[in-house]
Amino acid sequence: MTKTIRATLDGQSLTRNRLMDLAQSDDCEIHISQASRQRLTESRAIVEDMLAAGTPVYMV
Amino acid sequence: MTTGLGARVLEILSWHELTAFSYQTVRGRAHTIGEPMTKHQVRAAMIVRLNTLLLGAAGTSLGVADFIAVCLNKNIYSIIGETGPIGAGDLCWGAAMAMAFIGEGEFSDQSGDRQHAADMLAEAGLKALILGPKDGFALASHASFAAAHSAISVHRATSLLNSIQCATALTMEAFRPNPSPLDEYAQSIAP
Repeated sequence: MTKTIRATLDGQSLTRNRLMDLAQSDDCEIHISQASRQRLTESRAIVEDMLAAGTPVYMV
Repeated sequence: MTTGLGARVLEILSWHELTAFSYQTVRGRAHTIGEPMTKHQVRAAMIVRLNTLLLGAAGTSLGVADFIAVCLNKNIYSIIGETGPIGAGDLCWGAAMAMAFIGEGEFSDQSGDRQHAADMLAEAGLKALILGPKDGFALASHASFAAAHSAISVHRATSLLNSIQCATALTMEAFRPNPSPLDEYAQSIAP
């Protein structure tokens, strides 16, 4: 029985060894940190505001 | 980000058109050839892409990150040919990864079986990822495969170096050679 590998990703603290452990694992639990969720929500809101504004923006 | 490409670069697209453009970005670039990458390679790239999306700089929907995390946890990964990239970043590899996410490419699972992505997603109790504006571009255009493959190469090289050092130490222990070449002073002047 393999051991479940658990990791919480935050965009910053992932190491090479941890990446290899997770990539090779058949049994992992990857979670997204709360701070990252907040960051994604905020950045997506900026995108949606720009879309709503209707200003031409290329490759931002 | 709110316009078309090429001749349409100054033309503002509607939300509907930008959503369609996300799918078009993936479908139009998901062309890889050759043997499929290994599960290890694809999973590493998926993890790198997930991790970099979490910085928030790509402006993707939260659902994109959640979807990648669920695929990793359910141990399903996109089938991607080992040859593909042209142009910016890992465009074709990234798009091939995303094709499975939207239910149109192929996935594999722990057993190694390949299936049409929609079937594999259904088996796993998942629905295909719904792309919004900008999501397709963020999933296709990045360097996660190069980063992941580099990490794997460094990891293997490090393991090999450790093995060589162990083998050398054991050999010296077995044959009891003159250890003076390993003397700290000798190493400092002729490393």
